[in-house]
Amino acid sequence: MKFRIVKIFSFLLIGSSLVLSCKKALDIQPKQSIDAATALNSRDNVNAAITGVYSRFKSARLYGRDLIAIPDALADNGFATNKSGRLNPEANNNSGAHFTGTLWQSSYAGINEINTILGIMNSVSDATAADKINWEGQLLFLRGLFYFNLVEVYAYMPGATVSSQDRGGIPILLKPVKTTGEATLVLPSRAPTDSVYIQIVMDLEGANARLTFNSSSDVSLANKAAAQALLSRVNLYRKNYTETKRWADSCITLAGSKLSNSAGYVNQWRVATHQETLFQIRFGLSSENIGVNESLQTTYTTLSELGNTSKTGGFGDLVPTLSLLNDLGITLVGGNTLTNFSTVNHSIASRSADVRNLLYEPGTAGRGLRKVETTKFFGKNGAINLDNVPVIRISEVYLNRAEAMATQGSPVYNVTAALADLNTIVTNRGLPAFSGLTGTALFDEIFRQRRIEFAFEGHRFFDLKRLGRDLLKGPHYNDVAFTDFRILAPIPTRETDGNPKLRQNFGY
Amino acid sequence: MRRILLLMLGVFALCTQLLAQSRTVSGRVTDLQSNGVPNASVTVKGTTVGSVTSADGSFSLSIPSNARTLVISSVGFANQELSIGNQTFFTISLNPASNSLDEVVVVGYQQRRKRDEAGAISTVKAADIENKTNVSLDKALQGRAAGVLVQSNNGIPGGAINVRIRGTGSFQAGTQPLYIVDGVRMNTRNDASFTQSNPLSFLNPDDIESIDVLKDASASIYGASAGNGVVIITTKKGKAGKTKFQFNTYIGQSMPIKKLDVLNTQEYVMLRVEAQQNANITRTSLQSKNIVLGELRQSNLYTNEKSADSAIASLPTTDWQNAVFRNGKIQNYELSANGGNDRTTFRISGSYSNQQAIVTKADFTRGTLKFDLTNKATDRLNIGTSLNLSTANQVVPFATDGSFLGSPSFSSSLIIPANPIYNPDGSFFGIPPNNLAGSLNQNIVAVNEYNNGYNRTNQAVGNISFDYKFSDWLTFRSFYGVDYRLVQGQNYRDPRTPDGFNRRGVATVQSNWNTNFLTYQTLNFNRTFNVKHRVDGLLGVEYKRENNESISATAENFPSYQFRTINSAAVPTSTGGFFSGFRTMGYFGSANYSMDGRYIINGILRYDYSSRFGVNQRWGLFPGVKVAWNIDKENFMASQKTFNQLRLRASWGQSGNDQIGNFDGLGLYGSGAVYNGAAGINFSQLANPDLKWEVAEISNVGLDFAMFKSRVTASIEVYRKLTKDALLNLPVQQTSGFSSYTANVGSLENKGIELTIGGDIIRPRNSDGLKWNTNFVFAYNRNKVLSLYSGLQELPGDPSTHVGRSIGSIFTQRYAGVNPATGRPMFYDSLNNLTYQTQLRDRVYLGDNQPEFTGGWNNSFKYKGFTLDGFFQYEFGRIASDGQINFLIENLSRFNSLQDLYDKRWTTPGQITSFPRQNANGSESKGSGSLSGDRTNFKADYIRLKNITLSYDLPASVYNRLHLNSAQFYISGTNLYTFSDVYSYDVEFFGTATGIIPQTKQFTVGVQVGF
Repeated sequence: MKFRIVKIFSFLLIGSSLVLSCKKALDIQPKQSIDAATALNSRDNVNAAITGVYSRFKSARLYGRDLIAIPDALADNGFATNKSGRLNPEANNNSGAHFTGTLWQSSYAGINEINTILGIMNSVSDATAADKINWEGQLLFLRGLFYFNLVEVYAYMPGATVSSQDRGGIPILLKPVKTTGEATLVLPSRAPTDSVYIQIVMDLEGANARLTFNSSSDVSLANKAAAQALLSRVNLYRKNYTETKRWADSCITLAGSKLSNSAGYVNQWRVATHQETLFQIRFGLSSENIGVNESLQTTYTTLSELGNTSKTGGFGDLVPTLSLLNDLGITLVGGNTLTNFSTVNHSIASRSADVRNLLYEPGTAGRGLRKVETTKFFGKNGAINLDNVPVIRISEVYLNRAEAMATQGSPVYNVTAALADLNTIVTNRGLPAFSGLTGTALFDEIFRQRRIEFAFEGHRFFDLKRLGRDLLKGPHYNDVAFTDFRILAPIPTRETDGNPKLRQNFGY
Repeated sequence: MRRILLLMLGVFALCTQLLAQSRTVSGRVTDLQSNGVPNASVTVKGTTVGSVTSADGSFSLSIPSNARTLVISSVGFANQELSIGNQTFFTISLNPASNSLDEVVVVGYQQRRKRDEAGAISTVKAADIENKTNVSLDKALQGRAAGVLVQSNNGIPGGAINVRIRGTGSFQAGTQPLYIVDGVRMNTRNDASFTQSNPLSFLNPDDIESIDVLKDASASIYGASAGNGVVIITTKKGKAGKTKFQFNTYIGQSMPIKKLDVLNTQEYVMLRVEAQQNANITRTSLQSKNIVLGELRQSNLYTNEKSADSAIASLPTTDWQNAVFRNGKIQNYELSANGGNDRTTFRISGSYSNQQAIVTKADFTRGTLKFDLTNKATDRLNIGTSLNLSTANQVVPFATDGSFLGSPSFSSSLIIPANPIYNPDGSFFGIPPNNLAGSLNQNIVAVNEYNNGYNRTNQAVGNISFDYKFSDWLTFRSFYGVDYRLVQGQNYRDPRTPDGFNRRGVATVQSNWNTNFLTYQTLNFNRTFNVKHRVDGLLGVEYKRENNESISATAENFPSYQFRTINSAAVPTSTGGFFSGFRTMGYFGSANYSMDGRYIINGILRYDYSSRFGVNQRWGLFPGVKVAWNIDKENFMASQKTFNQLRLRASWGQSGNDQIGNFDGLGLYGSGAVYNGAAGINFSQLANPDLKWEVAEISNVGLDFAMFKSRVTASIEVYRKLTKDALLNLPVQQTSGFSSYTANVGSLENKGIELTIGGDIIRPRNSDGLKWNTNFVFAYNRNKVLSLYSGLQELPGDPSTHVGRSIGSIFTQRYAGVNPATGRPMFYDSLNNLTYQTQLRDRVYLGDNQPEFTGGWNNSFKYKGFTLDGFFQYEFGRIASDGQINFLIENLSRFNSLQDLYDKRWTTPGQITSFPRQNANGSESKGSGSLSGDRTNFKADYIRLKNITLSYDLPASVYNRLHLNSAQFYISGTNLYTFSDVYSYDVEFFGTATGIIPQTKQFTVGVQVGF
């Protein structure tokens, strides 16, 4: 009996020692992720976290496609061919077919990451003071860009509102959310639109003060010229023309030499980074390719080789409308008529001297009737569907300044200087200089050049919207009045459902 | 050690000597075929004097002089009593257990006679599983076990199966049960990137002895991972005796259950012309015809109707379904041997099986080797081992489901039928740089032929165990198990196909390995006091660790299609790799007390750890209590003859659901982001240190009875499964930077009734007579969401989860048919008025996607050597929508359509129909889409003749002459007929069904020989 007990205990001992040795074996940590509490404690990890913020802009719901293609579909530049069905609802301005909730979600996720890094970076021991200034400059630039994208999509712009339908700007969050408790308490309301713009200007001016720019600066990263260029755009959108001109002046002094001339212009759209780019979202590696369904190349063209209309590549879902073809100086064989546009395979009868129309050519008939398509995005990074996406180019800064000086009632109203800026652009695009343009005609020409210059680069809808103009979409689609609720995107329902303080846009 | 053993043997011998005052009897216990029955207990009635038979069934026993009756009992056999008299040698042949309560069930870490077990447990025996064409064991449960819902989404051999025990018990955490094969907890995640690979297909179902499903408090012994129920699989083991061989083979064919009735080209063109016409009334009919001819890439400059019509009439038709569907071969070969002596038994078996899918490129081939060995090292020490090796090779389909252009199962019914497959010269039509006319522009026959890929799953599942017997009543068991799985795959998009053309071929490879190690140590006791009081149970500790790792790579740009491995590619597109894993541990105990076999009480307690939960909540306690009253043992029942068994059971217990991500409770910065050539990290997850398991609390009342000498046997169960602290991705405002975090909120319940009733409708007088046995399984389950969080009535943006309703509720607008005047689809609005344009406020609740009544019905007829088995299964009360069909009833005529749409569509004013007019714009202006609301929903009720098997056993006189032990021939058919009224390829699907490879009809013939 005694031995038996000894034996029982020896077995139990074996068993329990196994269990005790398990104590350590009970713990397991992930390997592709690290604990958020200590993640940002080194210079390398903060750099990686900032890279993480940049990478959010690559989403197809941000600069990967939507921020570039949807504005042209919503406005009068893009005709949806229905070859894959994509962007058809947006071009029809169907209710709810607009920017999606992912823009909202990814932007605020990026903003929280920025707030988190800004909150912790001063305690990173192995970072230099210069590191911290550079980090802060980049983060402020990116936060300004996130907020600007959000406010231009979800809210009216200062000076162009339908006051009975105006529900304000968007929530501003500047404090990091790091715990579930903090996340649950986030129930913000929409800040007034002006406050959002003031915040954006503060962020961008902060970035300008901290960042640098020279001819070898990497335009895939935030830099001083990009901050100034964006400040000229933001101020133009909020109708602060003095500031528009001030920042444009400064930017042109810094980077005006980047403007391309007419001889080099088309070729600049065939190299990875356009010479005029002040800031772009880079898609460099093949693993970053957005692919055959939603990349900008597949969205805009069926071609996979320039001029080869027998080899079908992408879908070519969004092509120039008749009115854009007219502005571009392209005439179709058979004439620029609706019947001709919609029932015949397109071919080009003639082009004006504007070199920009060389970025448009007939696609393939592989997915339905051949259309004239844009080749601005054409796998410039060495693989089909892999293109860097320009966010802001120096030519815009000229046009921003021209518009600020040509707008009636502007404190910096100056017809001569505005005309000079306009001519700087057109003469570098193969067109003769304008002379004697004044008043509305001058303004309209500047605005028309803006349409031509930035067609299919995500500007048109916001340009019309900031001036309170109706979307004149004939003859392809019904017009959309500026007073129509479909001008604003719906705020994601899950957000308004879960937060009574967050008011949904009118009509949704 | 040896000395201790000897000493203990001595003590034991001494004890025996003391009792051996009287005399010794001996004998042999056999089954009806005169094979010895080992481990049968032989006791003197009314005493604790007894012995256990050896491997050949023999026993020897010293009995007191006053002993009168011997009681012989063994698992699987009916108890037998015989008077001793003056006899000293007995040959006792045992009858197989005639009623279910004498059968054995496997509960947690223990085997128990069903009579002594108070839980709700369904058992499926080998006979119900054998020689069916099921590739994985989960499918074998279908319709056989009450309350176990089994749904096959598709017909990919080795594909995913959905199993739910007693309803859906969770909002968002996993709902599949825990599978345990010979003590090893299995990992059942599909790790294959390119096809569905069901991890449970590692085992040849013909190697299974029994499957026991723990449905109530019995599951508490498995603690934090048992909330969805537990399925315990016991495989076949060796039996002592002369080595017996068995060879089994079946071959057969699988074929489509049906093809969809789609249009010919002329009908298609007519629809499309109508659609174009209705989209733009200013067009002339000739213009519309020219447009459609243009779409089909025909010349379209016709100037009069007649010439256009004759051009249309001359277009050819191809039903692409005929080209991609085929009959698939099925073959299966198995050989096993088992035998041994009183110290060692073994069983080895090997199998090869091959099933071709009915849509090419999803074939399944598997080889298994299984080895079982037990050895009685000493009288006290038993060693056992069991090892199953398997390799399964699956051909990779273009896609397992979804609306992929190149997927034959998706596109074959939808491609515009005017497209031929081949050019006149025999080459493929419409391959790059060209393509087919229409949005579905890939020649799926070419794509299917040119692409290739495989998925290979190599798996080793094994265990070793040591049982040491301290005494008659106390045994220690030390168990070690391993489940190792390596999944490797390759997929190639050929440069001659559209997806590979512009990238000059794309190859992807993956390798994923999962290592799952488990050990448990238990102390089992089993003791009877004063004859009447029996106590048994166990104490134990268990540890499990699981690691999962993977690497993958994609490369493109190949020299030509003849180069297909990533080594040959110019551009490595991407590489990937990850690690994940978890750890669990638990202390557990179970104690049973049985008084006189009449009153039984069982208590269970487990204290469990899981690394998946938040740091504050990793340990949890799971209790369970079960009681049973064997009424038939009561004296007052002695006089009646109706019930030969009657018992009442009740149980209550808690277990947990841990089926969430391995690191869901941690706050994380995740890697994977890339920008500007640098690697980045993102703040991906908020920490929830209080995240814990979801509690499944099950109450169960059961009644078992057998009447008229077991002619009728039945079990009735009534249960309520309450899920508390449900695991949910709790949404937060996205302005916080996050969308949700995993938390424990809300509750839901499943209530139901289960009935299993069976019996011999005809019982033969002698063994040659006609026997008709029937078994009917019925289950009713009702799901209800009890609460969410913050007083919410429904999940934000997800009205299918609404308090007071079933999970998976359908909340949408009601379709009101077609306006006879205009042909436009109409819906009911919130005021019950007709409207063209649906609003969110018009939505109403219209049932749910959870089946209400499920089960099966088996009939078995036996006459002389013939046996005919017919098995039906059924499912009622589920509302479903079939994504594939929804493409086929669109009103745009973008694709080919169903014949029914053509026949019933609205064409003329006054026509009453439910199919709206065609319109190439899709939605009518200021109207909702024609497939809005509940238009596409249907009742997925069905009764299916699942299987018929006719077998013939050669009479002994014949097989003996052939020097065989047994010989059987059989023919079998699966999914033979379905009583159902749906368009779908197959009604059994769950999920969306878009582009799935449908289930198949199968016929097999086989032979099984023992020698």
